Amino acid sequence: MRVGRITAIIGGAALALGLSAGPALADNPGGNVAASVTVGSSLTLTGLSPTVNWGTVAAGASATQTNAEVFDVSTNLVNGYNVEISPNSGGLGAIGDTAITIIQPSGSFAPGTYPFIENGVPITVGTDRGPTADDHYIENWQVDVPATAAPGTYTGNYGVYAFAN
Amino acid sequence: MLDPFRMTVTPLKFTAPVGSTGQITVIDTGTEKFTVLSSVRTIDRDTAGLCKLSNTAPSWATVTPHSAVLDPGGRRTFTFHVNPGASPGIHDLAIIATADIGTGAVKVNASIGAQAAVDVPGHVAKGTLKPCTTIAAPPKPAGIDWEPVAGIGVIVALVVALFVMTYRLAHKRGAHHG
Repeated sequence: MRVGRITAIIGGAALALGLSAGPALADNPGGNVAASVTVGSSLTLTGLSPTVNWGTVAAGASATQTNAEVFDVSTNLVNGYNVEISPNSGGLGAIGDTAITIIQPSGSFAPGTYPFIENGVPITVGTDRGPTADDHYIENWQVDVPATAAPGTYTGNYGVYAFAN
Repeated sequence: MLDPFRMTVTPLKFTAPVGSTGQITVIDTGTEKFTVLSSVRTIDRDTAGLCKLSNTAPSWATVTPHSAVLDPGGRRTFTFHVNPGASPGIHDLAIIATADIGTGAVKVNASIGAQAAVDVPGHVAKGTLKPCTTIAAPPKPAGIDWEPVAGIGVIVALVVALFVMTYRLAHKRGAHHG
């Protein structure tokens, strides 16, 4: 008898607790919709020119192609990015990469003069330490043809590399 | 206005143990098709201590496929493999997607590089480890979700309290009747 009463009281308490917990456990009582989105890191390069052409240049003279490369870089990386110009193969043959200077005028991101210091070695022309919607690069490419350069056409292959910081 | 050439690469940061693989996706977000060439290069410190792309490729890391053609709006996934063979220490790699758009006598191509930090276990001479990339700390073990535990605990405590109170009440009545 006593045990039965105790059981009934506990059962009632448990039932009451269960009822009170009911609304919290019900599925989506307010019609809410859970939403989530995952954003990955990304980097975008826009608008490069596929070629640089100085035309015919006399030995010992310099030539500059204005706006040879105009491009934008955007990224959501917290630490930003670097941009390098890299010779991909023996730059301009006997003339060498060191004959080339990249000039980023005022109005460009990271304005300045960036010469190739060593043949075959990339140069950094821009660094941004945070996310950016569009860093706008304007590049004038200058070549200083050595006075001893033999007549002929010199070819090269360069790359604009944007990579994560 | 859409640009003729526009290339996006995602994601851009990896921690890649030896034997692992990773993937980058290259997207043609412009209006012209182009061919993508994949490659791997090491990232080194120059004489000034700045991190730069080198022209060297590690023999123990590869990326496939070697090339793919992307139409406007198209995307392609490239997989890089970190094989055994690297010396102990942290190696910084760039997984590079190059849009082969160059033409003419002086060609200019466009490349985007994702970073991969490869941590090879083993003895590394003190002071030689100056990685360019940041290796993420290992994730903390998932903690206990205390919310449901606390809820269950409260219910159990209430039931126990009710049981004790009921038992004492019944015991008192029993003693009174006795």
